[in-house]
Amino acid sequence: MSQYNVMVGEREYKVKMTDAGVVLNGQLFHCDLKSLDGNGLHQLKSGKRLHNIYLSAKSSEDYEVLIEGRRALASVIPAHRQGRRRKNGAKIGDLKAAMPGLIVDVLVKKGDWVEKGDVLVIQEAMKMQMQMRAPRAGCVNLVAVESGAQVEKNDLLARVTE
Amino acid sequence: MKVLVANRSEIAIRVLRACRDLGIPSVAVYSEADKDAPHVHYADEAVHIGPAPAAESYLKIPKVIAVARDSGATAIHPGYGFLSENPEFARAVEEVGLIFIGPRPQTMALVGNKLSGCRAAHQAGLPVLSGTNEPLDEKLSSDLGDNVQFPILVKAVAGGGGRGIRVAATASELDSMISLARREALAAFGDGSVYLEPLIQQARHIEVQILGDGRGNILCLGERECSIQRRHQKLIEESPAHGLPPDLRERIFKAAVHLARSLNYRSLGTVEFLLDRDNNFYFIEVNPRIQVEHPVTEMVTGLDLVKEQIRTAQGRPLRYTQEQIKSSGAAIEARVLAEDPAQDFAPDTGEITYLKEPGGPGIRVDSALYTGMQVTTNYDSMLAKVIAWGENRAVAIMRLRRALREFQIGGINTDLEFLFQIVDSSAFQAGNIDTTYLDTFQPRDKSDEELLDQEIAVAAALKAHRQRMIPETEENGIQNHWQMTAWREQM
Repeated sequence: MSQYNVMVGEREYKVKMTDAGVVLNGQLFHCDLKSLDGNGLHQLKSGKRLHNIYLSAKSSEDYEVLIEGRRALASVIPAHRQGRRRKNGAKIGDLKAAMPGLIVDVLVKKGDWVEKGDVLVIQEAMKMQMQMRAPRAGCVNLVAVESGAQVEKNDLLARVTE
Repeated sequence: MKVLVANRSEIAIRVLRACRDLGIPSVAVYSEADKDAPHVHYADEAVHIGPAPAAESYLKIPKVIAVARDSGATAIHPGYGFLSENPEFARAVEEVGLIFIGPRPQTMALVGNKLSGCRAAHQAGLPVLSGTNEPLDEKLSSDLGDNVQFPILVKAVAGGGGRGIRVAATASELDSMISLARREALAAFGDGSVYLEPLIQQARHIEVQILGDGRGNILCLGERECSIQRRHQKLIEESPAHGLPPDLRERIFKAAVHLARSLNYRSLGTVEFLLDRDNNFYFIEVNPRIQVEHPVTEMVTGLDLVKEQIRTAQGRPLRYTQEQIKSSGAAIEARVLAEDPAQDFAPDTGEITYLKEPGGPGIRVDSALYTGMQVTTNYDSMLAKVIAWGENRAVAIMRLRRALREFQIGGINTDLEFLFQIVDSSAFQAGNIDTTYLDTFQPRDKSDEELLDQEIAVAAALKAHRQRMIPETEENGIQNHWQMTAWREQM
């Protein structure tokens, strides 16, 4: 028997694979999943509902899911590895580049106190000037870029700590 | 006639379709990044014009003109964006004896500069917003903030498409907003001059589609409301504007036609207005090109605007009288953008790994998407447009809701769900919209989607479970590929 903790957005579910079928949060969940194209496209039968569902692995734990106009990311973590779950940085606020582009201006320096939502960095991409804002209030502990720098998506721009 | 389309993506396809309908041979141009793009395949001929960055390909005037001449094209359609509003380009095209499918270069130059456009509208008797009416000096005077009323709009003199516009809420913000707008305008249009314009609170954006033949004949093809905007970028557009009093609509139409006539306008154009809460309207600008949101007008009038644009470029007179233009039902367009809602709607990039476009009654999809397409920051983040028509606004909304749910794009983040939430909101459905609508918009909570969340959880768990189990079964000695596939798919 295998058990998984699945996060869909803010909601967490416990899913057990048993001989009797799939058990969701302790209740038997009548469902069946089959691949339609040998790739990401599947059919999900859930009770009397039949959905087209697209499932694509983004990492060893994260799946991209498209269903009925929704696009969701689901993290599936085997229950025995629960202890290793990533923490959503409770104390650290990392500001990351949301897209590749050019750093036009850096408005803070290390040691500055900022409020949540303060503009820390101005980045340009697709000819748009984007104001990159502090993810939390705190002290700027690290400024990882300078103006004129070219950054890639998800590059660290600055870190705000308590 | 043989038309070269100096653009890419959905608008290139849109123009190529009109050419095909008219039996006109076509030439596409493409950058390195677009060598597999649908517009390349759709055109009769396609020519590579340079590397991915637009400045080295789609924006290179001498290259585009040289390709047009080499391929035997007799006309160039610029689409929207890129070179479409560049009078220098239009002039260069005409100088080598080719037809520019658009307004006269001098008209483009006049209205392309927002301030001279406003002056022309003012001279024609249209209500315009006051303001400095002069570009701001490079060096700002320290008392600038003392003489204006906040909040105020900082606006680029050049360009369009909502770029280079910022709102200064207070005097203390003015300097930084001016420099932000300047920088954005400089990057987008190569001209950093800006001016101040009074901000109309809770305005509605109403624009009028006009068509002129350059012989003094002007047609009004109705209005579009584009009040649903984020960061001054239109997101949802519709025709007709909901609840507009008929006499007010007539007065706005008259103003637009009057201005077009005073310019002896040729080709398609859009006259944009702001409508305040007391139903006073003010001219803001003329867009001298086909617009992103043109399909809503096509859906309600039944006309093919690109076809009419090509006909007027051929020097033919208008073939309809104003009385023959009828608007029927309602149409709404939603722009599907590569954006990450969780990252403050920053543009997203990546490969499109899965694609299913909507269809059915009343739905039109203008798209150039394909599975395997790389979405990059080289170009605009718009992926596709979904347009719904219905015999009334409620039916159009119902169909648009359906289509937005049918549309599936895998691999990158899009605003599809956000668009659905807007269309699904009761305020939108009631027509209570203005340009500040999205500033305070709160999507409906998703508690009614609990079952869908459960299904997502179960499906993801099953997928992960099976992927984990496969290596183990291999070790257990199942070697036959078909046996394994059958097991995996639980056939």
